[in-house]
This record gives sequence, C-alpha cells and structure tokens, in this order.
Amino acid sequence: MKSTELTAEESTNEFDGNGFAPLIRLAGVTKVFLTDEVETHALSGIHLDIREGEYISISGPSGCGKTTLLSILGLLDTASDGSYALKGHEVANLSFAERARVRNREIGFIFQSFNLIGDLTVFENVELPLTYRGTSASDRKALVTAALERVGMAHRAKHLPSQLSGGQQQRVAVARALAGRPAILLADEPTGNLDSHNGEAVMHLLRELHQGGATICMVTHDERFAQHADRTVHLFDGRVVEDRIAA
Amino acid sequence: MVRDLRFAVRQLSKAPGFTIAAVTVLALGIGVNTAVFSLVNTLFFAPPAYAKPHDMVQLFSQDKKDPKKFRGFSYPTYRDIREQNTVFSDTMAYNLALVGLGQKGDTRRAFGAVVSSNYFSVLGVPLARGRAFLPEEETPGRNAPVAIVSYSYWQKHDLDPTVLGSQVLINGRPFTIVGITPKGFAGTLQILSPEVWLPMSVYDQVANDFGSKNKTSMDDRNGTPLRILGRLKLGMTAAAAKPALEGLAANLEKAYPVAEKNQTFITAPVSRIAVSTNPTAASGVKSIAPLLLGMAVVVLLVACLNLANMLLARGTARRKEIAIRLALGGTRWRIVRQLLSEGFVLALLGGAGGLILGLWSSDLLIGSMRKFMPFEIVWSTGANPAILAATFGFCLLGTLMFALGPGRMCSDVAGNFYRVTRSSLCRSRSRSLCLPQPLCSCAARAKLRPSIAG
Repeated sequence: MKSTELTAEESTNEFDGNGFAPLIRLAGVTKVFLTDEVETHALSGIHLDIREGEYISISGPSGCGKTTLLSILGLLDTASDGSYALKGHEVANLSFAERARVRNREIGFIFQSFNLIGDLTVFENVELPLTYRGTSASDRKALVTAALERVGMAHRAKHLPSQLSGGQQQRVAVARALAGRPAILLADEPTGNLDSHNGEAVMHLLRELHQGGATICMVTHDERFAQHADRTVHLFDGRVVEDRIAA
Repeated sequence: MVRDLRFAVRQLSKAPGFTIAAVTVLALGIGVNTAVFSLVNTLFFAPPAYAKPHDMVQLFSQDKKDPKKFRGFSYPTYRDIREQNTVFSDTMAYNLALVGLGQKGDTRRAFGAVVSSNYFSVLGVPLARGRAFLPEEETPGRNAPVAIVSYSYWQKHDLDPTVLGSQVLINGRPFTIVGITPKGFAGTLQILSPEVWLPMSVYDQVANDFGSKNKTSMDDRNGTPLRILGRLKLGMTAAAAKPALEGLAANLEKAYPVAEKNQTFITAPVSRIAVSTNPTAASGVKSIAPLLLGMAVVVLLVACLNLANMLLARGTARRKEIAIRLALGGTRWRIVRQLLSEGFVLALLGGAGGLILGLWSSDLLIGSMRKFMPFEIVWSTGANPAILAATFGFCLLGTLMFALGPGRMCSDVAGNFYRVTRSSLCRSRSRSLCLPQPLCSCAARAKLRPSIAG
C-alpha cells in the first residue's frame, strides 16, 4: 500500500503525471459553518484529485467532514474557500441553476437512505434526472431500461419503492445514478441502511460498474467496504490525513 | 408539463382530505367571482338582446340655454322626428309604467313598457310567438286592449300555447295577449325587463306618474313622457348626425315656438341600465363594475391566503422530495413549476366547483328576487364562453396567488439537502439550521445554535 498526503503544490498542478487533467480537482477547499459565536471548521484545506475511472473511498469517524466533502463534490453545497474544478472547469462559484445543470449531467448520486420518491414508480424515479435534462421520451425509455437491466431491476419497473426491499431500492437508486451516464458516481454510505448480504451485493454492483469504466467516489465509515475501492482517503477533523492507493 | 400535471393529479388523489378542503375553499372564492363576473358581464359588456346595437342611439332633447337640462318627448314630437329626420332609418318611442298585472285578488305590481308600434321592428327582434303591434294600435286614444308578454311571463304559465290569445288584467282592464317576446329579451335594458308591452294607444289608461312629474295626454305636444331610440342609417355616425338633428330641432322650434322652445337634439349610446331623459344619468354606473369585481377578488384573495397556508404546510412535509429533486438536477423553476401544476389542478377543480356554485347561487338569487321584485330579471346564468373564460382566468389568477409563494419557499432548500433528507436526525432544530447531519450532532454536542451554512 502506498500512503500519501497531498500537498498544495501537487494538487494544484493542472495536469497529472500522465499529462491529463484530473476529473475532479479540489484545491484548498475549506468549509466553515458560522454560528452566533463560533466558527465551526468542517473542512480545512482539502486538496484532492480524482481521476477518470478511479474508485475512491472517503472514510473517517463520524463528524470528520465526509458528508460535507461529498456535498461539495456533488455541488449540493458550496465551499467557503478554495477551488473546485470538474472536468477542468471551475464550478465552485456557479449559480444555483448552473450547479443544478452540472449536477444533473455530470454527477450521479447514491444515497444511504436511497432517497427514491415514494409517489413515483421505479421507472419514473430512474427517469427523473433525464427528464430534468430534457432528454427525449424515446431516449429516456432506452436509457432507463438499460440502467434497470444493468442492476437487475427491469422487471420491477412499474412498482413503487414501497413495494421493494431495501436492497432492491438501493439498486434502483444506483440505476437512477447511472441512467444519465454521469462523469462520476458519488455514493454516500451506500450500504448504511442495508443488511450485510444486500450490502455486499451493492458493493459488488459498484465494483462491476467500476470495472465497466465508471468513476466512483464513495463515503463510508465501514473499513470492510472501504477496501473495495482502489484508493482510500482518510479524513479526520476536516483534513485529509491519509491517501492510500491499493498496491 | 403533462408529466407535472399527471404527477399533480396523483399527489392530490393520494391526499383526498387536503384536496377536498382546498377545492371547497377555492370553489367558494372562484364561485363568488364567477357570479359577480356574470352579473357585471351581463350589465356592462354582453351584447344586448336586440339586433346591431352599435347602430342604435337614444335621442335626447336638450335645453340650449341650460345644457344640463334635458326632457323627454311628446308623441306629436316623436311623430315629427320620425317623419322629418334624415339620419335614422327608423325611430321608435317608449316609456315604462308600473302597472297592476294579474287576476282579481291576485294582482301584483309589474313593469310595463308602453311602446310605439314599430318598437320590435326597429330593435330587430322577432317575437317568439304571435305578432307585434299594428300601426293603428298606436294611435293615441284608440285604446287598443292588446298586450305582448315576456317569455318569463309565459314560463310562469308553463309555456302554455293558449296564453297567446288569452286575456290578462292590466290595471283591472282586460287585455288580449297577441305576442310573446323571445327568451332573454329585456327591451333596451340589461337584466331588468318589463313583463308586459303595451301599445301607445293605451298610454292614457295605464300610465301613471312614473318618470314624469306632470301627467299629460299622449297627444299633447306639451307632454314629455317618451324616450326615443333611433337606428342610424347605414354609414351614418352620431357625429355626422349632429347638424341634421340640430336643424330638425330648429325647424320644430319654429313650427312650435312654445312647446319646442330652446330645444335641440343630441344623441348618445343607448343606456343598458337607465331609462332617463338625461344622457349623463347612468354615466357613473360603470364604476360599479370594477368595484364589484374588486370586492369579489378580495374574497378570492382571502380564499387563496387560506390555501397558501395549507400548501405551505403540505410543502413542508414534502421538503425531502423537493430536496431529492433538486439534488438530481431539478432547477428551482422546475420545482416551482411542478408545485404550480399541482396548484393549477386544484384551481381547475375549484373553478369547476366555483362555476357550478356561482351559477347555482345566481339562479337561486334571481329566483328569490323574482318573487318580490316588480320587474322581470333577465339574466342568463348559463356557462357561456365569456363566463368559462373568466372562470379559467380566475383559476390562473388563483394559482399564482396561492401556489407561487409556497412553491418558491418550499423549493428553497439550497445547501440543506442532508438536513432535509435526514430530517429525523435534525428535527428538533429550527428552519434556519443548515448543517449537514454529522455536524448537527457535533453542534448539539457543542451546545451550539448554528444558523447558516453554505
């Protein structure tokens, strides 16, 4: 195993060692939550590159800033300071609508609690990001069907989420994240609400997706699941304290 | 948009209690507006029930020395104007009278119109049944005991065909019914209609002091009981007619220097709500329209405020769904549009209920008024295109009023995704809390009261 802690100089290089810009580059990202009397530093000077095709896990104890980091990576929240480049474009200061557009096209989310919309069928849930993208109905149908087949849920397309088990719901959530063919999948504790059997199944699915070329960034506090990734970033008190690449 | 509407219908069908309450509130608000619009539209905007109303004008006799003074016309003057004018294709005269109508022991007050024999032909209104008055029935003093009754009078007699030719007592005297006006005809007025039309020859028998201070015989040139309406010749305008009418008045003044002293003739559009010798008498009445509509809109506003509160409460319960949609790339406008769609579906349901309620309550009101008012109310409360369009407009207005604000507020979860979707962990915090879940617990441990993030 190789352990590194990124320095500012390394992370702000425009190109990586192969001459390609990383898919994601965070440089000096901080996140401060202001309270009446106290500033709470959730993230402090995060430097992180994620390359295309990488499978990276972010781990650390509760409250270390994993979810805050994922929120910033997913453009669900903005950094207090620092820069964030996605596919070489600075996205830290985009407007709310622009962030929504980038999120829709470039980022697929897999949440711990699945976050499927209960009043929509499986098909409609998977279709939703494509609808927001303005994809034509025929293309939507093809993409949704392909995504559901990929996770083995095509036969439950007309079901409501409440009619599915937790494992099945997470597979639908994976299909939803996949359907739009995003640049990166962000998975926030994807096994957190699943039993071990279903948890393993989802991790196996993510591994398959990665082997198919998907870039995945997963937040987990479970070391067993963190080992599935090719690279492990460890956070503590809002800082990257360890960045290991599997040998 | 179709997808949004479909989802809206699905959402509302899953919350029948909310939907019924919201539709009821909206139906009341929109119903009042529909009813008031129906009234205002009939009074001021709907075309009158006679032919080519734009060609029709009312003639007024104005005092040249005191232009604020106006008076009516005598029957001889009417005859002179009808025969000598060069601007009208035809003219007719009429006045209203309050008469006793009915059988012995069952007499009630009703408005009657005493009219010249060409009244219906000048208006271009064919009768539903029977005939119009004959020229000889107009001659003053001839006392032709014939009457034409309104369609609603006929309705009161169950549309019995034998009403035509039967006798009706007017001021205790028998009159033969020779005609029945078409449905919806209210003479030259809107809504308020005479119930019976009588020939000019019976004026002296039935007329009272209604509209004139000094009762005079119909053929007395000094009398001024009549109003004159004329249909302008093809291509003639009111402005072009002015010099000719002034010339005609001057000629009559020369011929009858006492009776026609200082009089000149002017025209004005036919009043829809007044029977006056003064063209300015009803000029202020139109201001009632915005006042009535304004009052109705206030009712709609109150209904919308109630509904906005209901939607806000509902939107709070749906913040997780909204946060997920935003996370998946839905823009705020897209979310607001979806919530507006739900509001629009509610408004359409409320509008349909309001339309039924408005028209039903109007019918009820008219029915109750007919029982004790001395005039016929001709008010088509049916759902005509104008009413439907107005109701649809109220639906759109209502949607914006009650759904836009809550839609904007409920879609404002920027930076709060984890707080909203993991609300169970942060439920005790106030709305201003924006910390992600892990920090919520941190903040709780640190006994902080965080206010904003991102």
